Amino acid sequence: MKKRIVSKWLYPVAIASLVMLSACGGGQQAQPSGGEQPAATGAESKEPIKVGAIFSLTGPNSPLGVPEKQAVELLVKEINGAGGVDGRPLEVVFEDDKSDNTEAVKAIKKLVSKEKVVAMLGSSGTGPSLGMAEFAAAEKLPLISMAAADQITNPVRAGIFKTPHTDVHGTKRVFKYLKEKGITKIAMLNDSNPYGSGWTTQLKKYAPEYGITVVAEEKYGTKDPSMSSQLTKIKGTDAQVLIVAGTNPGPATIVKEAKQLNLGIPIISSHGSANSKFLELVGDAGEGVLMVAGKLLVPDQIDANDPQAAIIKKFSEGYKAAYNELPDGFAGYGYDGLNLLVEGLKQAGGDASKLGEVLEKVKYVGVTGEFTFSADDHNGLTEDSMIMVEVKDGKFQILK
Amino acid sequence: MTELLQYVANGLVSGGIYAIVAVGFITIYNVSKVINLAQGEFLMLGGMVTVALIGMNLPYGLAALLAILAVTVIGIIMQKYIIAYVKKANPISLIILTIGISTLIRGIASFIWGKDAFSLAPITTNEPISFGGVTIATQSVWILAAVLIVLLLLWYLMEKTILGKKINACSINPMAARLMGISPTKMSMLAFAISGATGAIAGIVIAPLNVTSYDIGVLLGIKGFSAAILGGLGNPLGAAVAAFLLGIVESLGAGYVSSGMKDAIAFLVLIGMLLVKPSGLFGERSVGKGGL
Repeated sequence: MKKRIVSKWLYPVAIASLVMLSACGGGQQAQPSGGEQPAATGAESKEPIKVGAIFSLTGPNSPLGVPEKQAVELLVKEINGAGGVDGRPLEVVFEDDKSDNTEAVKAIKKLVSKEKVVAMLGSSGTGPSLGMAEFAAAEKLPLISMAAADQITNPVRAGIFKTPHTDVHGTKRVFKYLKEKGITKIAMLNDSNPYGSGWTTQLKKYAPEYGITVVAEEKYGTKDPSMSSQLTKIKGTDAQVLIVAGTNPGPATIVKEAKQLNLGIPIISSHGSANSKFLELVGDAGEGVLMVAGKLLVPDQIDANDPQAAIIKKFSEGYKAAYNELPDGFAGYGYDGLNLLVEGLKQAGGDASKLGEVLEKVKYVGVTGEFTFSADDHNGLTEDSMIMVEVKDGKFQILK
Repeated sequence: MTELLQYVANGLVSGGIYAIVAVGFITIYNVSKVINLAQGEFLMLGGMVTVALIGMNLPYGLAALLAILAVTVIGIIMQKYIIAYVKKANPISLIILTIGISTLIRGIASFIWGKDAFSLAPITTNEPISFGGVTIATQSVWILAAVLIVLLLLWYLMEKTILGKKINACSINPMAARLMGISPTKMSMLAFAISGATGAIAGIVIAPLNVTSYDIGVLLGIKGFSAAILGGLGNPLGAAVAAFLLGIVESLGAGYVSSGMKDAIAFLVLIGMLLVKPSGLFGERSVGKGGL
């Protein structure tokens, strides 16, 4: 009797543990892209240049991290196909931070101690990037982040750069638009994570400069299932527009609930949610939502005279050919990040220890914007490389 | 005033969801004395399976029906192959076991569907309904209707049918029930099936309001559990009332105090209430109901 029970027991348990094991395995598919290489000691000509890349491949930031990784993989192939950097092949070792700050720091420590990478890309989110930047700055390891918040490169730290537009650029671009439209009263509902808080700070800081008053300042938690109470509060104010800063699904939930509550004022969402996932999540509730974003969001609507037109066309066509979908802004951040790193390595003659200084003099036209790094600007972009788009018929439409 | 009514309306909708979860907890608890902490996962599965089936080009209604069936079967499997095997274990071990099961279900879900959020189209329309300045989503009406229907059906089942009497008998005195030819194991399985089905229904009706993902069950499970405790564990009516109260307090707290403190306020009220009345708001009935 006893034996029968035990064997009956074992069967489901064994299956359960197998499934669990494979589920755990799923989260760790981000392993080195090349073979195991011994640590780089001498600068022998055939030794690959090892760069680490940490992106959020799972978790809430995965819609950012996955395209970033895809863009970087594509570019690595292209660079190595054209003879590598300074005659040496480029090897990028990927890690997943699971959209988590602690995981990101663990991953960068691993890449530095085990893989001996000479420079870093990543991560996708502001929180993980700040943790990594702290570590990289202490280790004097050059790092280019793909996260939005201004704090990453402000104050400037040696060797720490970033490619996306900051919340300062986004704020200024939105305010410029509002000024054109004669709108003076805004409400904001931002994620309480570092990305959203960054926006809250900048919106409040620059509002007086553009003659704008903030009449409601609300926040929500990244995992909150409903923001209807905050929206009800905002509905009771005389705000003329609602600004939302967060990464999906938060802004999508807000747009849906705003429609359910009949909020009645336009919503402007930040570049953190500007991707196809947003359109998919909001469905027809998204009609008329405005967004501030990089030009890459609408590659086919960019003016041919634009200095970025050529590189945007090249990147979006190459990406489409490889992955059968158009790149979004996040893919562009990854693409620009590695391009900048390679540009820096070339100018430094392959010597990564000089990368930090060299990058400060780099000028490069990317898909995100025209980068002009300097000793006191490690982001190198201006708000003029951002555009305002409107969701029309389930697509992003550029506003002239 | 309109604002106050709007907060109450928002609170009623989330309270309705908590009510279904809470009643699910109690249905299982009453029969088997197990607190099934995988209850939130039943909701998640309901929503996610529906999304997945619609993705396979099945019509909405059929997808929802299949999802409810699937989750019901998962509830039965969980009872039959896991809980029933460890009948001799004490309730604490069983509770820990259900935590393990919930983690397992979440792990499998994130493995199958990834960690992205998904959206489900509303049952009827996306247009909001407005009366007297208070606006709610049409979907919210569906949610409240589903909650009321589920609660009514459960009440009817428990109070007016022989099956309900059998379940009650097992809950009051399993030994005597067994002597009368009622199998407590079967009734316990039935309770898991009911919890699975109601959970899945709740998961399906709430998914269109915002988004659904592999991890939405955690928070909903905690909220539903709080409501069950607040109402006095063992009393479905008390749990439902407590769930609506919890939803409204949460919404008012977010509106008038601070949106960042929403959950904290709700749980503070819970702790305060339990300090004053440890048996819960309507706790009398649960005393002496332990089958001892």
